[in-house]
Amino acid sequence: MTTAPPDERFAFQAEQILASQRRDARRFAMGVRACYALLLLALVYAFSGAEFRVGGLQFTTISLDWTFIQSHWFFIFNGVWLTILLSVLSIILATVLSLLGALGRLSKSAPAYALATFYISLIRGTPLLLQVVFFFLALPQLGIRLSGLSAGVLALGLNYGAYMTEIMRAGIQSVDAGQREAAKSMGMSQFQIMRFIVLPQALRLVIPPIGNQFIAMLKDTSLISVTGFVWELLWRAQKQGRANFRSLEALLIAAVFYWIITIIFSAFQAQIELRLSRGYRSAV
Amino acid sequence: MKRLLSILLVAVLCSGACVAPVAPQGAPADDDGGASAAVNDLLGEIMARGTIRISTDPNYAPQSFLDESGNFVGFDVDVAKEISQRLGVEVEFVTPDWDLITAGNWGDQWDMSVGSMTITTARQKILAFASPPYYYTPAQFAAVEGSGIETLEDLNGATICVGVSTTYESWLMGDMEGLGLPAASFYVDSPPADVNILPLTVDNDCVQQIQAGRQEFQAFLTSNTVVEAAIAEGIAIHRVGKPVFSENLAAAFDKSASKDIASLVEKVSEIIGAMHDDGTLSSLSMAWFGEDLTSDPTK
Repeated sequence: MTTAPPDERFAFQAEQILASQRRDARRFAMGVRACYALLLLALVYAFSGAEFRVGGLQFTTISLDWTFIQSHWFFIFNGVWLTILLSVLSIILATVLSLLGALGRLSKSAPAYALATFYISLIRGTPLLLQVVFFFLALPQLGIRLSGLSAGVLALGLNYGAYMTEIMRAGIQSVDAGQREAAKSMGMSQFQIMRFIVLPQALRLVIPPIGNQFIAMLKDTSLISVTGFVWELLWRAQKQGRANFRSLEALLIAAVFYWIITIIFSAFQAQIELRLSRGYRSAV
Repeated sequence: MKRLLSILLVAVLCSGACVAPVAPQGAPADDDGGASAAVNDLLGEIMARGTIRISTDPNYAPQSFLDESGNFVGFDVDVAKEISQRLGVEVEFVTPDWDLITAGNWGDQWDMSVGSMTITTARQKILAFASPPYYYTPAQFAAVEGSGIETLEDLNGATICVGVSTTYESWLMGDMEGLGLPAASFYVDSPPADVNILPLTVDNDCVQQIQAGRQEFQAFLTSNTVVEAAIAEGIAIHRVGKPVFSENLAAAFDKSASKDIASLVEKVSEIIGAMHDDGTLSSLSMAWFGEDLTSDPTK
C-alpha cells in the first residue's frame, strides 16, 4: 500500500472539508426556506377564520370578508405607485439636504455649523407626523400653497435629511485624512478635494444606509395620508375600509403591499451592497 | 459622480418648482378700484377656470364614499355634481380630512365644501354657509347590544363615542352656544349627565370598534343616516330613544379665501333653493337615504 504524497493528501482533505461546509450551507438554506414556508402558512391560517379544538379548548382564527378583499384590493393596490413616487422624491431631497447638513456639521464656518446643527436638532426633536401637518397648514399663510404631494415630500425629505446627515458625515469622515492632505499638497481647492477625492469614496459607504432609509421611508409615507390629499396606500385603505365597515380587511390589504414592496426593495438593496463591496471583500 | 450631481441638481430644481408662486393672502380686494373686481371674484375665477373644486370627505357612507373603482359616490357627491352642472362648470373633488375642512383657512386649495356640514356659530366665524341648508339630519344615539342601555336616561354616566370635531361632540360637551342651532332644533333639554366622551377620528370608527368587539364605550351619537347604515350592515346595535336634535346641513365656503366669495355664496344659495323647489334634492334624498330629509323639521 503506497501512501499518497503529503501535498495530495492535504488537498484531498481540504476538498472534503469544503464539500461538507457547502453541504451544511445548503442544508441551512433549505431549512430556512422550509421554515419561511411554514411561517407563511401559519400566518395565512391565522386569518382563515377556521376554528379548531385542542383538548377541551375552542380556538378561533381571525376571519376576513374575502368578497370585500376581492372587489377592493385593486383600488388599494393602485396606491403603491404613489407610495413609491413619494419615497423616491423624498429620498432625493433628503440626500441633498443630508449632504449639505454633513458639510455644515464638518464646516469650520460658525454660521454653517450652527445652521446645520440647528436644523438637525429641530427636525429630530419633533415628530414626523406633526411636521407633515405643519407644512400643510402653516405654509399657506405665507402664500406658499403646496399640493399635498409636494408638502408631503418636503416634510419627509426634511425629516429624513436630518437623520441622514449623520450617515453622510460618517461617510465623509471615513475617508482617510491623509488623502485630503495629499490632495491639498497637489494644490487642489477645498471644493475639488470634496468633489474628486472625498465624495466618490464616501458614496460607496453611504449608499447602503441610504437604501435602508429608503426602505424605512416607504412605510413612513403613510403619514402623508393624514392631510387627505395624497391617495397613497394607507389613504385608500382607510377610505374603502370605513365606507364599507371593513377597515381590518382594507388595512391588511395595504399591509400586504407595504410588505411586498419592502421585500422587493430590500432585495435591490442587497444587490447594490454586493456590487459596491466588490474589490473590498476579502479574497476567500 | 457627474451623473449623480446632475440628478441632485434636477431634484433641487424640481423641489423648487413645486413651490408655485402665489400672490400673498389678504391683499385688499378693492385696491385697484372696480376694474379688478372680476379678477378678485371667486365665482368669476371658477367660471373662467371652468372647474369648481369641491371638498368631500369620503369617510361617510352614504353621504360620501368611494366605490370599488375609486369613483366618488353618495348623496353629497350627487348634490355637488348637480350644483356644478347648474353653474355650468366641471366638478373636481378634493379630499382633505374633515378636521381640515371645518378648521377653515383652506388656503385656496378648494372652493366649496358640500360635505353635510352643520351650520354652527363657531363655524360661522371662519366659514360662510349657503342658505338654505340642502338637507337636515337628526342626531341619534345608538347603543351596543347587551350594554343594558335602552332609554335616553340610561345614558347618564355612560361612555359615549363620537367623531372628533363633530356637532355631536359639541352637543355632548354642552357647548350649545358654539352649536348655535335655533332652539326649535333641540328635541331634548340637555345632553345626558356625567358622560365620558370618547372622540374618534371619524363617526364611523365608533361603529367599527363595536364591530371589532371592543368595549371601551356603551353608546355612540351620530347622524341617523350613519346609524341606519350600521344597522343595515348587521352590526349589533340599537337606537336609543328618539333623535336628540336636528342639524341644518349646508354648503360651506372659506371666509379667508383670497378671492371674494360673496357672489359664489349667493349663486350657490340660489341653485340650492331651486333644487329644493323642483324636487331634485328630495329625489336624491329618497335615492340615498330611503326617506326625504330635505324639509326643515323645525318649521
